[in-house]
Amino acid sequence: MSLNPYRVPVPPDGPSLQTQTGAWVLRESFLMALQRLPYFSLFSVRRNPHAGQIQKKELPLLGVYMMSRMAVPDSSDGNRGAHGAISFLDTCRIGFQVMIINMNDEAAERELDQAERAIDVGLWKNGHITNLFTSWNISDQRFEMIDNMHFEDVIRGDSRKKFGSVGVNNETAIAELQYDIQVTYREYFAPDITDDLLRFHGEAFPANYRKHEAYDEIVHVEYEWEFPR
Amino acid sequence: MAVHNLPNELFIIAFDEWARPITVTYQSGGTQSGRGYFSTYDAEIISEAETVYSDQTTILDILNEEFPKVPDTGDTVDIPADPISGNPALGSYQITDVDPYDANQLVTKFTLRKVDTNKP
Repeated sequence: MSLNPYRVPVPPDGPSLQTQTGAWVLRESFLMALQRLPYFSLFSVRRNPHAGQIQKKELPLLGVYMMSRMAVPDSSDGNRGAHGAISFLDTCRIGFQVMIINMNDEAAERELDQAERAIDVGLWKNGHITNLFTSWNISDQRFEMIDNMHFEDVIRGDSRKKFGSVGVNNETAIAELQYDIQVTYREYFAPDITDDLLRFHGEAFPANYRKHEAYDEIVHVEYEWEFPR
Repeated sequence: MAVHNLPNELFIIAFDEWARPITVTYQSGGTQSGRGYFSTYDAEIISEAETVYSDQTTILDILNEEFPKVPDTGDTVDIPADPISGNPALGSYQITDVDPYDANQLVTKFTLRKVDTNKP
C-alpha cells in the first residue's frame, strides 16, 4: 500500500493523493527535495515539458517531468486480478533534465555527472524520502513526501548525456543530462460505501410452500442496526 | 571561351554587399582582420521528455584568398560593430566546423559556437 495508515493529514489546501495521482505526487516530492539541495540553488525549474521551448535565459535548468504511469494488477497475494476491489502495482516514469552551458565539453560532462550524483544522493540517501513508515522530517518540521506517500522501489535508472544537436552545429554550448527512473508503488481503490445496511428483513418457509397458502407458516425475521449519525 | 569567372565575381559582389568586419584569433597564436558573411537561423534541439531547446545555427563565410591562413576549428572569430551598416557588435565565436563552400574552393563556411559564460 502506498498510503501509510499512520499518515498525518496534509493541510487542506495542499496537494494530496486525494486529488492527484501517485505519479504526480512523486514528481512534486522529488522536485521539492532537489530544489532544497545547494547544488541546484541557481537552477530554474520546469515541471511541464511542453511549456514552450526552453530559452537560453532559463539555463541552468532543472526539469523534473512526469513521463508515464503504468498500472498492472497488484498480485502481491498471489491472486492476480482476483480482488474484489481494484488494486494496482504502479510503475511511474520520472524524467530528470539538467541543462547547462559550458564551453569546455569535458568540463560539461563532469558537471553533468556531478548533477546526476547530486540527484542520486539527494533523493535515495534521504532517509525521510525512502522511509516506509513516515517521511516526517522532525528537524525541519515537514514531510519530505507530499501526503506522506510511500513508494516501494526504484527499479530502473537510465541516464544519458547529450551535447547539443545531432549535427553539433548549434550556437550555444549546451550540455544536457537526461535521467529517467522508474518508481514502483501500490494503490488500493476500496469502494466508498455510502448507503449503510440499516435494516434486514428475512422470510423462511417450507420447501413445499406454495403461493396462497397460510402466511403464518412463514418465519419472519427482522434486524435493525443503529449507527451513530 | 568564357571570359568571366562567374562564381568568383558573384562571391565578390555578394561579399562587397553583405560581409562585415571580423577578427580571427588563431589557436596557434596571432590574429588576422578581414571580412566575412555572417548568418544565423533557428535550430530546435529535442531534449529530455520531448522538450525543445530553442537555439541558433550560426555560420560565417570567408573568401579564402583574403586570408593568408584559413582559420580552422578551435580558432576564435570576433565580430565587432559594423561602421558601414551600423549593425552592433556580436561578440566572440569559436569555430566548431569547417566546410569548403563551393567546387572552386573560393569560399569556406564555418559553423560557429558562441563564446559564453558557463552556467552555472
